[in-house]
Amino acid sequence: MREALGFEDIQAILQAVGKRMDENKDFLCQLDGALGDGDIGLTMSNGFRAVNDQLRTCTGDDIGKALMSAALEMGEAVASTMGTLMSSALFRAGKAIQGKTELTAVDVIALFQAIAQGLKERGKAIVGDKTILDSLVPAVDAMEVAHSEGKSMGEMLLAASEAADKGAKDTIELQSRHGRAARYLERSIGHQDPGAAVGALLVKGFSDGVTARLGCVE
Amino acid sequence: MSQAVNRMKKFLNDPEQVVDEMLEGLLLAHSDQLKSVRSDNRALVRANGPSNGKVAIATGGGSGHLPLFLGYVGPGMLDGVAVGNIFASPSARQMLDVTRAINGGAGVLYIYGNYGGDVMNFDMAAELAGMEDIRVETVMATDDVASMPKGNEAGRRGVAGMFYLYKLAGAKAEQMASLEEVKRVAEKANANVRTMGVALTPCILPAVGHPTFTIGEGEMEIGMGIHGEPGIHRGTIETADEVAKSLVSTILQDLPIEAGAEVSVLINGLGATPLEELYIVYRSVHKLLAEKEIHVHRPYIGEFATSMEMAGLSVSLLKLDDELRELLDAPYQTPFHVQK
Repeated sequence: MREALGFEDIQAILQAVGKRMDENKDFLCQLDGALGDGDIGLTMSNGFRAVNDQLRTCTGDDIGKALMSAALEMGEAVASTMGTLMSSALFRAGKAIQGKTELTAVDVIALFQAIAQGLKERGKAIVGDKTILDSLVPAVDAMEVAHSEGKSMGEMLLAASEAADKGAKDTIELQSRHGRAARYLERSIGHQDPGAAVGALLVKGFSDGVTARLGCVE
Repeated sequence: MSQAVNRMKKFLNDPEQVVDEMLEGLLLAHSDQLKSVRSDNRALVRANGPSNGKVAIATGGGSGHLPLFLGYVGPGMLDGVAVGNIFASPSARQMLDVTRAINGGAGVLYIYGNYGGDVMNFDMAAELAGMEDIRVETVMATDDVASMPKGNEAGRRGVAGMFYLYKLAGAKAEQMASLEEVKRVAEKANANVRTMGVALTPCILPAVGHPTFTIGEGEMEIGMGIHGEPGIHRGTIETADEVAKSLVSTILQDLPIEAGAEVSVLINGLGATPLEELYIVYRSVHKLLAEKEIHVHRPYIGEFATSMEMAGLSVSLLKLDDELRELLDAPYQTPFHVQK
């Protein structure tokens, strides 16, 4: 069984992420309506559409470079804070794997680490602030554990997806401490953070794509 | 009464088209000086550029601050600018398009204010330009003393003092200096300039239609940012002399300037404050500096970085040496200012 992702795999995987964002557009907007300005579903749906439009036209085989140019298109398509943050994080991810024509499990971990690190630095938030980091950081941790246990890429992503999902749902109990949502103080408790939900969908979509391309079991 | 004050009273056609219509008007008026390199007009460059072998300087930022940012493109100043929506960063792609259009082969210097969205997007643009073999360096203006305490200078925002970074780096680039040299001058300018502002009334985002923050009747806020970021002190409005003293002494605590030294002073109106008041404040600043035996060379008084219809002003002091004075005295021409 293959254990590495090529250029076409990445194209398919990002399409799967886009599909998750499209399917959950209304759900995300609903979450954002409670804590933000209610447009995060549109931002992510349009943003990943721009990513996929760009990836479709990419001719080279450098996955990192393609991801960087796709991130730029996302920034152009969605000028909101979350759009710029996600665009910047994807750009970092592309940079982390620049020059690679194939991604191993270690590369995939590096890619998600770069996304989380980019969001941490740019957004200046930490885990527990009720942000996208509350789903992405547990997902990266789960990837590292699964990889150290010798799990396949598919299993690794499934574990990450479960961790991200749990992290996103756990934000319901948290109080927003970052950005505009922080103004709601304790009234933010009881609502799932829309950014954390985006993080979970990103990992879930990635996992969908990997499973479809590589399968999941050994 | 306060209702009437708060209602939006602006010359608009459509609040959503403010930036596009402003750009259209600007290009119609100044087509001899500026040209657009994108169909959405969000990337503007000198009409006669790029200049071969000259370091090109780009800036960018949100709209709502004219003449900042696009008003500084022209001979002796900048080569191009990326234009964002009101108070919003331009995209990285718009910045990249500017970079490509102004590159004359000697590299590109980005000079912009230290705001989150701008930093993210300019960093992305710089990386992509690098992949196209365009050398890019960055200097961020961090002149706003009120935005971070001493010791955290690098985290401060860029406000009206950014004018001096543009002016001095622009003059250096015009001498065909290398990218390293132009960058050094921009950094030197930033290290030697400080700004303190004071606001009297808020501004209104056209798409919102009412002020997003308030400053009470008879109050002023010292240190408020050009997007209404909270300042360091809110209190009863004071006389021009008292305000000048407060702003100047805060600057001098942050950037000590010894007797006998020479400074340039920039008194910047935030949009709704008349020139008369700016000159009244300049009078106070000049006298305060004279008492300390600090000489003023080439004061600038007018609108340099505004916040739409915000009433208020800022004072910037630039500490000069021979190199900076010579660069400051060099001519420049933009659609908004001419210095011969």
